[in-house]
Amino acid sequence: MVRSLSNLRPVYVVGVGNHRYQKLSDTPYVVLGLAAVRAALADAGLEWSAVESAFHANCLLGMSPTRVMLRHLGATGIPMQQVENASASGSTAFRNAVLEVASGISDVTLALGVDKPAPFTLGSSRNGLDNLEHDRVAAFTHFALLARTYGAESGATPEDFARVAVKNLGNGALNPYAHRQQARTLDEILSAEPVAGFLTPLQCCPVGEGASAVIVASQDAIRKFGVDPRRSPRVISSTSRSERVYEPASGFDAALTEETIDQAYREAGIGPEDLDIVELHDAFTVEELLYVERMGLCERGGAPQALKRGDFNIGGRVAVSPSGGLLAMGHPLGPTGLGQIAEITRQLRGEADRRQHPGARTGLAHMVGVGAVCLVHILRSD
Amino acid sequence: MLLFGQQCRKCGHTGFPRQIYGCEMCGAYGEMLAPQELEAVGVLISFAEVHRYQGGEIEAPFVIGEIRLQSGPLLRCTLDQRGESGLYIGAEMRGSLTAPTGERASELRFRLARD
Ligand SMILES: [Zn+2]
Repeated sequence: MVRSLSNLRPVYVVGVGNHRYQKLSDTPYVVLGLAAVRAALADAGLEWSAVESAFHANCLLGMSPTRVMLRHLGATGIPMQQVENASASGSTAFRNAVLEVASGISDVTLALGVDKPAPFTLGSSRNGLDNLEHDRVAAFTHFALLARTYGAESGATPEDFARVAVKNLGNGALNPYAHRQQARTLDEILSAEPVAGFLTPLQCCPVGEGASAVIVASQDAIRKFGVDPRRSPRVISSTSRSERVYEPASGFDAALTEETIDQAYREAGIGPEDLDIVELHDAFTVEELLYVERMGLCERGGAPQALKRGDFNIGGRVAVSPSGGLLAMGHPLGPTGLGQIAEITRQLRGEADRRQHPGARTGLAHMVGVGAVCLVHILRSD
Repeated sequence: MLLFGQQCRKCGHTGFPRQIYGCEMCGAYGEMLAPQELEAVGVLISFAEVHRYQGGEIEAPFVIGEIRLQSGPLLRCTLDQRGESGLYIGAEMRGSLTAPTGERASELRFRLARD
């Protein structure tokens, strides 16, 4: 790599907007997307005419859904494109938008995630290779297998995993954009029949529909359009990696996370002790325990105890998934990574309402996507 | 019981299932990937009973195991047993052809080697 973000011109998040994540409904995706973009424009105090390019993350809407949606804001002729990178689609659209502004190609760029559930096929199912698992290892089974291994290594119990859901569903209950807005007890989470291993349904994220929009801008644009710089956190790192061959071969999600996070810390010139907010890929409870350790937020094997102590609560040492994370805010695929950026931005501005983590100044967003890929962004307010 | 895998002539990496697309360790491809038969024996790395399955091949519940073959590759496979009882990480596992329902063609499943 010749340059990282820190060598390019500064990029700021100036506007964020969401359409609530929810169960599949009859609402056209266009309505979801326009609601999020208009909210982000209003948040930034910008007109659509100021936006110079758009990246639209989605996995399941079909070919070319973007312009036919965004034309209703006024067909200004700006470049637009779809971005697909599985769960990390929204994070990838954000990275594209950030790099476009950082490089000087545009001053104001939109990253939008809109998606609706639909049947899909993974490309890997057409790779021409046979395997022994057939189609029997769904995502929840993959993570049930990781949970078993992690439990054996760390001594974590089913209660330790379920405690992640207690925290994140509690946070989601305070988030008007969350798919799940009901706090749950440990008992409620554990009493249901598992889907696989010891993962119960409330330890698995809901996949529904929704939209998140983020507008990024240069310093020039902030001055030109009179955007409030105090409400515009800077993006101090954008990193993106894909899986290598790891030893031991099991648990690639955590190994990939660790090396992507390390690169992000180096690029930003910070360490885990500097983080106030973390939004991570908690599609399944075990993931939070795995990733907080690899992020250096606690020692290896120490996540269950740190969680139990309240270290990762809003108001704790570092608020992990104050939005509710994928477990509560939800995981509509395209929007998810951008919803993380929206939450971090609100937290760093002090505008997160009942979810506000006191004194939040630095926030990190992490996503993995099947394949496997990993993206990490770090935002900071001055 | 043997599985069809391959070994890279350039870097020695052993892979499963068999393919000649390219070695994920070093990128060598085609004839550089030598067919290799891998003994269907290994160690249980993880396991989970699956209660929900949307495919049509078999009926839930069934048990999926993650096994590291003695020859190196990690694979996931349906286990030839009901429930998780008797399974533990580190258990020696062996693959064999089984006809689980009696109606279907037999398929490769792993089971505890001591059974
Ligand atoms: Zn090789």
